[in-house]
Order: sequence, then C-alpha cells, then structure tokens
Amino acid sequence: MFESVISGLMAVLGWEALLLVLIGTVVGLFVGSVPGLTATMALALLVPFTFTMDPLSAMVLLGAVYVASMYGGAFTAILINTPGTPGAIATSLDGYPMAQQGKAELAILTATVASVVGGVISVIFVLLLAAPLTEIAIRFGPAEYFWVAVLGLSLIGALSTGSLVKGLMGGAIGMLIGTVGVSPLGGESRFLFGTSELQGGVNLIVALIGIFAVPELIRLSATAMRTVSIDYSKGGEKLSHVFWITCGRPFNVIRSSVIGLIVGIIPGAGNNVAGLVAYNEAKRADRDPASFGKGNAQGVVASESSNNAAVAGSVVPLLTLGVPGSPPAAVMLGALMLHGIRPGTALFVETGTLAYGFIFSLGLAALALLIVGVIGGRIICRAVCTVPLGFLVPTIAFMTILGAYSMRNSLVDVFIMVGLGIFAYVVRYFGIHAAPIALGLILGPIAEDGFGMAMLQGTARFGPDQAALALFVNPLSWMLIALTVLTLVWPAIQNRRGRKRMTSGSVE
Amino acid sequence: MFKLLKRSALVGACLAGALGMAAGPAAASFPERTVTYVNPFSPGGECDIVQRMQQEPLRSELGVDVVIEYREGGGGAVGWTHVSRQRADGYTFACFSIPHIIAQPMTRNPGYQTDDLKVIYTYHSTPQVLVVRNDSPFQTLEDFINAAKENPGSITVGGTGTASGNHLGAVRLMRAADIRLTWIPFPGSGPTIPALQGGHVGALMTNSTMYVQNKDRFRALAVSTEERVDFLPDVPTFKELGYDVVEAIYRGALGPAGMPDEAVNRIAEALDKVNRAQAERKQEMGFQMHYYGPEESAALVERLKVEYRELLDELGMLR
Repeated sequence: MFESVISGLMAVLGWEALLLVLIGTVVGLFVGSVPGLTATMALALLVPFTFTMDPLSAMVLLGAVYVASMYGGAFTAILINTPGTPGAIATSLDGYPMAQQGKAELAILTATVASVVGGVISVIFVLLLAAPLTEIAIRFGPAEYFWVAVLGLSLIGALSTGSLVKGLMGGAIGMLIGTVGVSPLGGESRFLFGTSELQGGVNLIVALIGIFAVPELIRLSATAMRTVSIDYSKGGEKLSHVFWITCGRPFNVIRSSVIGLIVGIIPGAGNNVAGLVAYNEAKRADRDPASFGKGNAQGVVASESSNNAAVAGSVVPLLTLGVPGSPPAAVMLGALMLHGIRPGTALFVETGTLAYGFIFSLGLAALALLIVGVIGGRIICRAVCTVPLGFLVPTIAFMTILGAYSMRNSLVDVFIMVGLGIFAYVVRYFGIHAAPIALGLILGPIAEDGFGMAMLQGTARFGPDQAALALFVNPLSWMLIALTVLTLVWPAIQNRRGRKRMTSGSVE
Repeated sequence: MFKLLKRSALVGACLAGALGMAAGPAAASFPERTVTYVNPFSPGGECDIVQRMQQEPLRSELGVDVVIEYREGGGGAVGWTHVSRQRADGYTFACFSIPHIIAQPMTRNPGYQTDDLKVIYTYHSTPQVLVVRNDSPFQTLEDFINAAKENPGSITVGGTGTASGNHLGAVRLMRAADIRLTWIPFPGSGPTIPALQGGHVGALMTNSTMYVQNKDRFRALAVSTEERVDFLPDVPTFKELGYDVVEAIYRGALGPAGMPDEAVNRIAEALDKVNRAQAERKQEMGFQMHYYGPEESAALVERLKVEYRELLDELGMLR
C-alpha cells in the first residue's frame, strides 16, 4: 500500500498533472460561481475530452473541476445571496450579512481559506481511512436515510432566525414542492396539472435559483442605490487576518470538515446537506449562537470547510464501492468505466497509483484554490461591488434564465424559476425565508423514499401490522434519532442556561 | 396547446416531405446540419455513458456535429415526450430504454404513446441478474426459491423503481417459480449496491453491467437470458434451471414517428458501424451486444408490448 501511495503522489506532482489541476480549478470556479451551471453538467461536458487522456489525468481534471465548483458557489452566496451550488446555502446565511456590513472581501477570503483547509483535512482522512470510511456508506439503509432527512429537517429550527413556526412552514412548502412529479417508489403521477413537463418534478437547481436569486434581483431593482449596497471601502483584507479567523478556532474548522466528510460519504445526502449540518453544529457550539445569521465569519467557515470536505467524502464510496455519493461523482464513475476501470476495493490494490493519485489530486486542487481563489475572488468581488446596478441586475437576470433553461433545455423550467421567485419574494414579507424552503425541497424526497422502503422492509420482516418497527431496529437509527432530539431541545436548554447566567450575574 | 403543437408538427412533417420530394436527390444527403441526440436520463447514467462514447465516432460517421441534449425527468418520459413532438426529419433522436417506452404509456399518461416514437436501432441490452452477497446462505437459485417458499414474502429483493426492467424481472421470477418476494424499489441503481452490501436487502435483481462491476463481492444465482451470456460463462440461466424468466433492458435510439426512411436508415447505419467498433469494450463493461436495425427493433417492441401488457395486468398496474 505504501508504495502505491508514494507512486500516486509522484504521479500527480508532474507538471502535466499540476497544469490539469490548475485548469480544472479555474473552470470549476467559473462553473460554481454562475447560478445554474452545475458541477454535474460541467463534468458531463468534459468527459469526452478525457477519452484521449490516461485515466489518472482524466480523473485529476474532473476532480479539480468538482472541488473548485463546490467552492465557487460561495461567491454568489456571499455577494448576491444566491448559492451557486446547493452546497453553499449555509454560506449565504452569514456570508451575505457580512457583505452587507462591508466585509464582502473578508467573507470571500474566509470562504477560500476554509475551503482549502476543509479540502486538505478531508483528503488526509480519506488517505488514511478509506476502507473504514466505506463502512459508513454501507451501514446506511432506508431507515437511516429517513432519519437523516428528519435530522436535516430539524435544522430548520437553527436556520430560522425569526419564528420557528414560520421556519417549519417554509420547510413544509419546500417538501410540498418536492412531491411534484412521478413518485420514485410507486410511479404515481403527482401534481402534474395535465402537463407532461412536470413529470420530472421541480429541478432542485431551478428552484434554488428561483427562491434565492429572483427575490434578490427584485429587491436590487427596487433600490435607489447605484451599486450593490456593499460598502467596499474596507477592502484589501490581509490574508494573515483571514487565516487567524479560520484557524484561530481550530475546533470549528476541524469539526466542520469531519462532518462534511461523513455526510459526503452517505450516498444521496451528499454535499447539499453537509454545509447545513456543519453550520448548525457550529452555531450550537458557539458561545454566542445569536450572532449566527447576522454576519458571523465562523458560519462561513463551517459551511465552506464542510462542503469542500464532502467532495473527498463522496469520492470514498465511488472508489471503494463503485457507488457515487453525489451527482457529480456519478459522472466521474461513468468516466472511470469508459476508461475500463472497475471501481471497488481492488482498485486500491490493482491500480493503487490511480486511486491514491486521484485522492492526492483532490488535495492539490484544494491548495490551488488558495491561488485561484485569492486572485479570482478579489477580482470578482471588486467587479460585483463596483459595477452599477443598471448593468449588474440585467446580467445576473440573464444568467439565471440561461441557467434555469440549461438544466433540462426546457422553457417550463424558466417559468417555474420565475414563479417560485415571485412566490419567495412575497412570502419573505411574512417572515418565511428561502433557506427552510430549500431544505424541505432537498430532504423531502429523501425522507419519502427512505420511509417507503423501510416500511416495505418492515412488512417483509415483521408483517404488515408492525412494519414501522423497521424504522427503530438499528443502532444507527437510534443515534440519528438522538441527534434529532438534541437538535430540537438544545435551543431551549441554551435559553434557560443563558437566563440563569444572567440572573446569577445580576445577583453578584 | 398540445394539439396545436402536434398539428404544427404534422404540417411541418408534410412540408418536409413535400420539400424532400421536390428536391429529389438532395434529400439523400441527410444529415446536412447538426443533429441532436437527446439524453432523457441524468448525466452519469447508462444512456449518458453510451452516448458520450458514441458522440465523437458518430460525428465522423455522419459528417455533422452531434449535440447531446439533456432532458431528464419522469424516468425518461420528459425526454421521449419532447422527441415525439419534434419535427420528424431525423435531426432529433434520443437514447431509449425498454421496458420504459412500452410500460410507461401502459401504466400512466407520460405524454407520449409508444407508437408516437420510431425505434431506429437497438445497440445492446443488459440482461437481469439475480445476485446475493458472497456470504449469503443462498448458494444456488434452488436455495433461494426454497427459502421463499418456506416464508412467503420474507425475502426482500431490491432494484430500480417500479414497473422497471429490474422489477419486471423479479415479477417474472415470482410467476415462474410461484413464490412471493418483497420488492424494494430504489431511486436509481447506485444505492442498490451498498444496500445489498450492508444487508438492507436479501438480494438484487440488477443489470448485468452492475453485476460485472461488483463481481468480487456478489454471487450471481442466475441470469435472465435464453442462453448463457458470453461475458458471464459461469452464471446459469433461469431457463436451464427450469424457470422461464427472460428479461432484459434494451437500449437504442429512437426518433419521432413519421421520420423519412432515408434518415432512419442513415442513422441506423452510422450507429451500427459505431456499435460494432465498440463491441469489445462494451462487452467488458457487461453489455450484451445487439445490432438490431429498424425492422428488428420494431419487431422487438411489438413482441414485448404483448408480454408487458400481460405482466402489468397481473400486477394491477394497467391504467
């Protein structure tokens, strides 16, 4: 094994591989920062170009694009409150308030450093623990998927800065939107309204563009300001300061990276949820949880380190089981197959150079983000902050329409995007925010599938009357249930503690 | 709206036909511009892998650009509906899979009818394989069937979706062996592998490609072909073990009904050349190769229509 690790490292340290990493990160950064261009799509378009390459070079290029696009999503999340990728939803929660306080560049550089650290930490874990980590993916059955989704939905409590009830309403709306289409379990048609286009359901990216970007564009068009209301005068942040923010609290960044890694390994849940889970944990552990959602840099650190760590996580089941942990990983699996490589544990033995080389290259791509991100980040940040709104708003509007259309080459998707956007703009006035809606949309289908399959399993095992037992028989399910309960009651505990501290303080 | 579209498509087709007749020999030069090869499934799926493999050679074969367009959703229904409404001039065709294009219109209204589509060429199939984990107590198909007879419904079998190739394979086995299994439909083939590995299902009814990828971990009990498969010489067929289970997912290319014969034949010829050149590589990946032209493909669809109608009727899924 040791020999393979070394030869893998040597293989990616050649100038050719390094060049591919650099090209990949630039492409990925662009793709990630445009709402509607997804890593999945970019990888699918790149696959034919990799036919002529050797397998390792192909995977290095694809991996770099994947890593960088995860990070690129942070730009739009911070600057225009629109996560460029679903993984960056949590980044917008504190990144955008930071930008509004004039700390846009600080937020972006923090996201950069956090991404690099998250990427490197997760690669180290994968290198050392690929085989045991695979166990995590295998232990997840239908019941666990259900409970993971429930745990995710319980995060709504943490995400909603205002009323919990309104947060839950948002989640319910999202779950309802998620039911549109042909149901995956029984094949029933739901809420099609007589059209055939809605069979595929509401595309997640299309919905995200709608509920995040459109309200922001409406708001920007309605302001009297000439540029984005970001005070740029405080620019020129020192990198050392940013490093201090990220690494000065090592617990947050390490915890978030590990969470991202583990969530990324679970096939299906993937990077979309990783950032949100890490964000919730960071908020819970923080001394001042109330500062989250109002521009706390630690929120950005948690989200970004976690969603980049999830990249390496989703590669684990891909390499060891041949099971993609996320849609972009599915495209990479296709590329591996086209090169005649059969993923599986044998991959590490038979073609160790490829397997380890690929994992190393993900780490290199994370490091390359530091260069590409610091330069590109400053340029993009300055551009967005100084371009007059009269140019900026139409440009972004154009890109959102293009992005929604390109998902499935369907005009219906554009209408859905605009419709959901107007809806989101209206309900925001009633205190229902975009993040809980997005969470419901992502997790509703996972919960439904998991529940349905677990009930079928239960029927086979315990008979139709006690089918629900299947949801409660595995220790892993218990753990997830316990975490959910903890997430739900923690704010109450924290409240009481805070009150006690206050009263005892006043006595002294 | 739909009617209008259909009518305009019809008018378009008539116009194209008239133009074709008027132009005479010029029509033989199909294709003259970029062709669109629709993928009705997601990137990374089986259609995607095959279409990406074919894209470059198909371009040199046809002499024009080949654009792959994603129109995913509804288990392929969104893409096929789209294709069925395009002008039938040969410039838009899609990757298809059977049973989907036959079973979907039988069980719900997917927006197209099987007869709205013209099958052009069938490149390969993935026979269905019944697999268990290496450490499973079921050494043979006989063990499996006996266990299912002892405790009806207690064995869970996983696969992709409902009324899919995997599902219909399992249904055929239940019929042939007169047993009851509990079908667990997964959203996509990816999650089925860790589900079997982790013991969340007792067995999988899966595609030959999936089994080939996981040979070292899983044991195949039987394969659903008439004769043994070249790339799985050690796996017995259901038939030789005494159970009449023949089921496979066929993939190929289709266009809107009413395409001119020149276009159909031109695309079929090009696909045939590309397919033959890639045969060896595809077999290694676990594909059973076919080289069915337009007539053979149509005959396949007609034969399976009858069989699937019967199966779906028995399941109570016919609409």
